[in-house]
Amino acid sequence: MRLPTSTLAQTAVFALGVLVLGVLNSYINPNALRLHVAHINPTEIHNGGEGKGLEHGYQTASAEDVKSYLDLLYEDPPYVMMIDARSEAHYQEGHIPGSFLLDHYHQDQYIKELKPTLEESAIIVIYCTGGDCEDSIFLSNSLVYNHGVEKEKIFIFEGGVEVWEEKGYPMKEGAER
Amino acid sequence: MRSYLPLFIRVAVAALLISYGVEKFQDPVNFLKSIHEYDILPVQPSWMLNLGPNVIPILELAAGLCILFGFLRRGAAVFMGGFLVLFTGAILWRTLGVMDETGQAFSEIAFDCGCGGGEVVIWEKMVLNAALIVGTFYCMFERGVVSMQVAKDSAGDSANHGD
Repeated sequence: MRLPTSTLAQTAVFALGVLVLGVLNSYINPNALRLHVAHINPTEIHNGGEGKGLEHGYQTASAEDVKSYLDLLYEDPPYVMMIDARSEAHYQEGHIPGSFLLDHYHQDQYIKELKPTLEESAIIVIYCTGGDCEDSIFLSNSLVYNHGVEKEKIFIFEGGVEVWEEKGYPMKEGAER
Repeated sequence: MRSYLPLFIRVAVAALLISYGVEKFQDPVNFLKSIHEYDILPVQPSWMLNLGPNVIPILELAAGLCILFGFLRRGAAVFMGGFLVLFTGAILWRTLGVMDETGQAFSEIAFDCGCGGGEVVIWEKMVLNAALIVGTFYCMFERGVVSMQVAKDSAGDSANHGD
C-alpha cells in the first residue's frame, strides 16, 4: 500500500509540530523534565561500571540514625541536613520533620537556595520513598558530580519514608520543614 | 440516515488518546521511570530518554485533537498508528523479558507499562492497544467530514419531521 503524497506531507507536518511543541514543553512548562538534564543517572555511569540499580557507593543511615539526628536539623547552619528527594506533592503529604525539599527531577527550582546549606552542613542525609525508589541515589549522584558536594558527607537513608512510617516515627505535613 | 459508527470510533479513539496524554502530561516523572524500565533507550545522552516524557504526551494530545476535529487528521492518524505499533511491540518485548525472568504465564503478567492507568494486565492492554491501532488507522481512511455530515443529516431529519 502506498500513502498519497498529501498524507505523507500531513504526517511530516504533524510529526515536526509535535517535536517542536515537545521541546518547547521541556523548557517552558515548570512541571516538565528538562531535556538536557540527566534525571536518570545510575551510579555505574559515574563509577565506570560499578554499582548497578540500587547499589551505590554512598554511606547509609538507618531509621534509628535518622531519628537521632532530628534535634540537630534546626541548627543554623544545620550540622545535619536532611533532604527529601521526592516531589513537592509527596513532601506536603508528609515528610521527616526538619527535612528540606529537593525534588530530584526539578532540582533547578531548589538548588540555588539550598547550595549554602549543602556546603555548610557536615552530614547530608538523603531519602525518598524507600523500596525500589532510586531518586535518593540519583540526587546524590547529581549533587556530587554536578554540584561539587563532597561524597563523604552524603548518607542515604535507604528505608526512606516507608520504613520511617513503619517504625511509627513522626511525620510532618505541609510545606514547612 | 448515515451511520453514527464512524463518528463513534473517531470520538472514542480521540478520547482515549487525550486521556492518555493528559495523564502522562501531569506526571512526567512517573512516565520517565516507566520508559526507563523498558531498557531500550540509553540513559546517556540524557535527551534521548527525556524526549519521551516531553514529546509523547503532546503527541497523544495532539493526535487526539486532530482526529477529533479533523485538522491534519490523516497525518495524525498515520503517525499515531505507527507509534502505537512500535509502543505495543515494546510492551510485548518487555513482557517476554518479564516472562523469562519470573517464569509467569503471559496471561498472568501485569506491570505499569507507562501507558496510563498504572499497573495493567498486559494481555488486556494488548487487546486494547490492538483495537486502538485499528481505530486510529480507520480514522485515517474514513472519508468525509463526519461531524459536518452528521449535522447535515440531523438537519435533514429535523426538516423531514417538520421540527
